[in-house]
This record gives sequence, structure tokens and C-alpha cells, in this order.
Amino acid sequence: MALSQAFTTMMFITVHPQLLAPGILTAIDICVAVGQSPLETLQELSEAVKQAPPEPVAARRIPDEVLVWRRKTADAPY
Amino acid sequence: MATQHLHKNTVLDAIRQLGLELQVIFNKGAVMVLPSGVNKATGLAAALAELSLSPHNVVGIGDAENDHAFLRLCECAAAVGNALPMLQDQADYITHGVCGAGVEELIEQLVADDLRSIAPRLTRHHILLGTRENGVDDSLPPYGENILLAGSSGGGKSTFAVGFLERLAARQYQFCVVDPEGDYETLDSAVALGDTQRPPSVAEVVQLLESPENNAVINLVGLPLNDRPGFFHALFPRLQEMGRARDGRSGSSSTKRITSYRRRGSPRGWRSRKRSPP
Repeated sequence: MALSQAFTTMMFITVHPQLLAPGILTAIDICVAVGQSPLETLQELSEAVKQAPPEPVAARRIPDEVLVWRRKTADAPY
Repeated sequence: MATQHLHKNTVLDAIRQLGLELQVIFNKGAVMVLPSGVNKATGLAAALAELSLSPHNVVGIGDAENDHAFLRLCECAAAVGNALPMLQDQADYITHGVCGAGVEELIEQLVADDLRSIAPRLTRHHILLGTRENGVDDSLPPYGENILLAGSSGGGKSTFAVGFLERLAARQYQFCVVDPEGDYETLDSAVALGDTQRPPSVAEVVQLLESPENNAVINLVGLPLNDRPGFFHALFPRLQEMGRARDGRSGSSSTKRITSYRRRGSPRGWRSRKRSPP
């Protein structure tokens, strides 16, 4: 299925970012990584879009925290 | 009715003597008498209901006291250059031009860039994402940005998403959830379409979302996997079309739009998730 590349104001929810279409991943502005291994989730997105997040990537400390990467900015994930 | 400011005592005396339930609004040099509870905001709300539009679709501009309530309702509130200082303090944008020239300036900017240059000032509408380690709230605009919410099963994706949806609903932003596994069917702020026995139809989704007060959860559990691509292919253009209609635009869908609804879904890569309460 050829999804439009013009989508805006969307939230895509998935276990594995790499399973989303490349065009969708390129259009992602903010990644919110949840669960036990958010660094791996970020790494998966990073590889898919061929963009390394700026350092240092924050380490979560409590279970309720999420890791946020605003990938269209120069801010390191927090 | 309206009269000049110098007649204000006469107006107040007449209202008192006749025992009328009327409100008096001072508007620059004028005194306006209106039925109780009626102002420009209630008028705008009535007009928008007729037009199936949301206040989030509206850019308003004013200059005087009777514009406060109306501008508070608008997604983008502008004041002309000669507006009262109190109104300018409330406005998201103040034109350089005064009176009609200020209105022209706003319209020209709307045509030129869809007010994208003003968008960074509209932080009063931002939706809370969470709180950072330093205690500062982290938020994002209710439209324009794409979010990827990812993580392992049971990691809190649904919990995070539901919290975000509730904050959208609290601010009257419309949303549409494409729900492949029935995770969101109990969401209080939305109407669930489709169930395990009956697949949703594009027509009923569009009909529901035509009213900006309605939110939708499209439950795809009853729709065979092979039929889902075709469903998306039919649905998304209709949603985009609705967004363009509400913006008053009919051009390319790639135009960055200020829309009142947030759409979300997971078109590919769904994985089985245990059902979790919102």
C-alpha cells in the first residue's frame, strides 16, 4: 500500500520502528520510547533513518519515565 | 442596542427601572446592551456549530473590550495595532497596521504562509507531553508534528497514548484513533466504530468526524487483515479532505495546515499486545 507522504499531526504506535515504512519514519518529528529498553528503541529508529541522536542520551531512572528524542532539533534525547 | 458612552447612566437607569436582565458592555466610546450571556464568543460558537467547524479552525482579530471573549475562543487571536492595550496583551499576534489595514495585514499573512510564522507564539495551546527531570513541563503543539510512540509490549504505550488523548480531548482537539486490536474502544472521550463482529465503514467515520466535537476510535478487529489496506486507502484521503475543508483550503495536501484534529494510527508493524485498560 502506498501511504501518502503528506501526513502530518499523526501518532504512530508500534513495537518496532523499523517495521514502519521508511517514508513515515523520515517524517517523524518526535520519538517517545517507552518500556524496558528505550535506548534500543531509539537505536532502532536511528538506524532506520540513518541519523544518530546527539549525545549524551539520557538514561531513565524510574519505570514511569519515557525517553524523548526530538529528532528534527539538535537536542539530545532526554 | 448601542449608544455613546456619555449616555451610560441613562442606559443603566433604564435597565434598573424596567427590571431587565441585560448586560452592559463598554466598547471603546460605545455602550452596548446585550441579552445576558450573549457576546461575540457565543455568536461565534453558534455560527461554528452551523458550519461544522471548531474554534480551533478560527483566526480572530479585534480591537476593543467586546472582543476579549471572542478572541479567547479563537485558535489564533490577533489584535490590530491600535487595539486597547489589554486586548493586545491577550493577543497571540499584533499587527503593525491599525484598523482595517491591520486586518488586511493578517489576511495577507494567512494567504502567504498559512500563519506558519505565528505558530511558535501559540504556546497556550500546547499539549503536555510530560515533565522533565528538572521539573519543567515538556509539551508540543497540538498539530503539525508527527510522533512515534514505540517500545516493547506491556511497556506503557497504550497508557501514554491514552493520557495524551485525554489531554487533547480536554482542550477540544478532535482526534481519530485507528485501533487494530481493540485497545482503545473504552476511551470515554471517543465513539468506538466497529467491533469484533462488525467492521467499521469509511462513511460512518466521516459522518462522525464531521462534527468537530466528536472523536473516533476505529476498531479494526472485525475487519479481515487483507481488507485493511483498502480501508486505509479509502479512509485517509477522506480525513485529509476534511482537514483541508476546515482550513478553508483546497490546494495540495502537502500544505502545512493548522487543523483541529490529531490523527493517529499504526499502518504497518502492528504487534500483538495484551489488552490493557486505558
